[in-house]
Amino acid sequence: MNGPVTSRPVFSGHAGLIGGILLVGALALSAIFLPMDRRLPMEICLVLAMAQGWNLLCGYTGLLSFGHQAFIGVGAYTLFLVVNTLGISPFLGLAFSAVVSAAVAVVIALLLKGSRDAYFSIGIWVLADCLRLLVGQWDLVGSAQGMVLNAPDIDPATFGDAVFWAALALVLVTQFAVFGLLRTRFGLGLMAIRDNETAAASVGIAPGRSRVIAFVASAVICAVAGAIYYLSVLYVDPAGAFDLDWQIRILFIVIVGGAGTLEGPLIGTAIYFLLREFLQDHGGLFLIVQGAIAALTMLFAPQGLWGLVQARTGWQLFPTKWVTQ
Amino acid sequence: MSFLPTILNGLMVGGLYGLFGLGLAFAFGIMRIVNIAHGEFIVLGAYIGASLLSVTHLPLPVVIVLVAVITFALGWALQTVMLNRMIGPNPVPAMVATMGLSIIIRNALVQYYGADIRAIDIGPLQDQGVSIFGTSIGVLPIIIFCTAVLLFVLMHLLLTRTTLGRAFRAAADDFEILETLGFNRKRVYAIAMGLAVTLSAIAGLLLAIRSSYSPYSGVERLLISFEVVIIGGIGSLRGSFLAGLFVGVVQLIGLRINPNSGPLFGHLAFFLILLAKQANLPALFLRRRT
Repeated sequence: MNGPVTSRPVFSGHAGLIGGILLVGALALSAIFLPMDRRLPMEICLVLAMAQGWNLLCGYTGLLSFGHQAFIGVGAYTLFLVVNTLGISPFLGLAFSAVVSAAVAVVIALLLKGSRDAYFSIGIWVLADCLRLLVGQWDLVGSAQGMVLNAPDIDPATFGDAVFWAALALVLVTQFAVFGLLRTRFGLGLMAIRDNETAAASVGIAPGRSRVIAFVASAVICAVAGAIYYLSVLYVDPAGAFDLDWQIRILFIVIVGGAGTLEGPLIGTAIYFLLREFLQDHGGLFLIVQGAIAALTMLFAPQGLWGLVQARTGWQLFPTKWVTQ
Repeated sequence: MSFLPTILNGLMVGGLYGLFGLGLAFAFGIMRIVNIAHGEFIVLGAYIGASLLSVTHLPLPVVIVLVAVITFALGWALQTVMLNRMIGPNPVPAMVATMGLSIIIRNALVQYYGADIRAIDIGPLQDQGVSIFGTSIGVLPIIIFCTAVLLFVLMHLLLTRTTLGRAFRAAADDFEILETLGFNRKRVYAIAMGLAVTLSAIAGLLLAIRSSYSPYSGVERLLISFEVVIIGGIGSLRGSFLAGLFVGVVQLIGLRINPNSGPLFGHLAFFLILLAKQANLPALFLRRRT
């Protein structure tokens, strides 16, 4: 083989990409034009963005994080803190959420530098729990009671729509930015590291640095999504923002849909919200069904539903696999 | 204000934390399976025990044996039905599957028992105390601690003196050789998972007798178990025991300093040790010595 790094990769299945763009466009248009409460489409957009961010880490570098609720909390609290103290526009505050969460992610990456596999998963989980407990003790942000967003210039008539547009923009940017990223040399390097780290390193890919970049990117996506979510409810508390349920939701969506594919989180998100809407009157049953589906998926389709489809048909709506011609 | 009672109590509860870690390390060491539902099995032990105590009014030691049998069967079933199909170099499927299981158990407990915080009442023994080194300490914590030590000793004997124990240790090193010797790998794994779950469930029941529990306690107990495993190392009974004592003492001292801190101090101590291990401090010291 003539060195995958020097020869230009040729991506297969551009017809699929047209399908993918049409699908995402149709979903976005239905979210915009279907006559329904904008809160649900907004939440769907945010959760899909988080899932796509987490997928970039889990599906493409193999690092299974159980602690991304840390970034959701950090993003939300950063937003509330800068808006309340500096008095800036909440949408400008999202930029602060991105910067602070990136910094936190770099620190966490340094702390967990030597931790792999389960050690990484649990290490970041313990760190997320530390952040939850510390924020719960911090008087400036209202400790365990949480804090209310103090933004008097918000117009209630347009605010809901503005938040929805932010969420939609985030998910579209995330979906296509991750897609674009994976088709660059860097993205191919990530997949190479996941599949065989030694071989990847031997052709000049820096595994450590690539992982850190993917980790920081996934953290920033989750942080901005979390910030937009808590912006929409104007209130944040540590038990909610650092809740493990965020992580479970993301994990369910990516794993059931298919980790390491860009289509998987779309399918997973659809399944998650359909289940939730159908079972919302049955209390804890939804969570039990969710857990059962995750376990059954691992038993019978460890590659996730889209992985199953892809293995049978070779379809790619967002082609990131390539062939040498 | 003396810290002696706090330290003694930390040691007493630390024995149980050691058992939590031992169960988790056992499954990880032998099968390379990280059981995310570990915390839920700890809590499940408490609920099964509490139900048996209130329904049958049997004495506590009998209930402990019954809980051991039931949870052994659960662990066996978990390994046979689910986890034996996921053995391999990739740890992710088993972690995700057990995470799914943990969600099922947690929410089933909420559905069935309700989400309120409970405590197990076992009568007058709970209020008795004795005086050691001039400080008063409960009889019950001492009995519980001795039970934990006893379980550690039994595990040590099992691993060193019996064929099954040798099979476990061999399985941890090289399962292929084990299979050539005529052992059924999957059965050895099923027994190991049964034992791992049993140890944690008994420890969970004992912890529930001396403190409170709810369906949501599982996550905190899982994190404690992990901390014990990573501090104490895998494949060392003594390591698990000492790490359990350490986490217990740190946590109770932390709660004494700041009653609202929860498991925060335990987490922070764990991170300091994790960082020290990464920086390979012991190696630095050893190099200087030679």
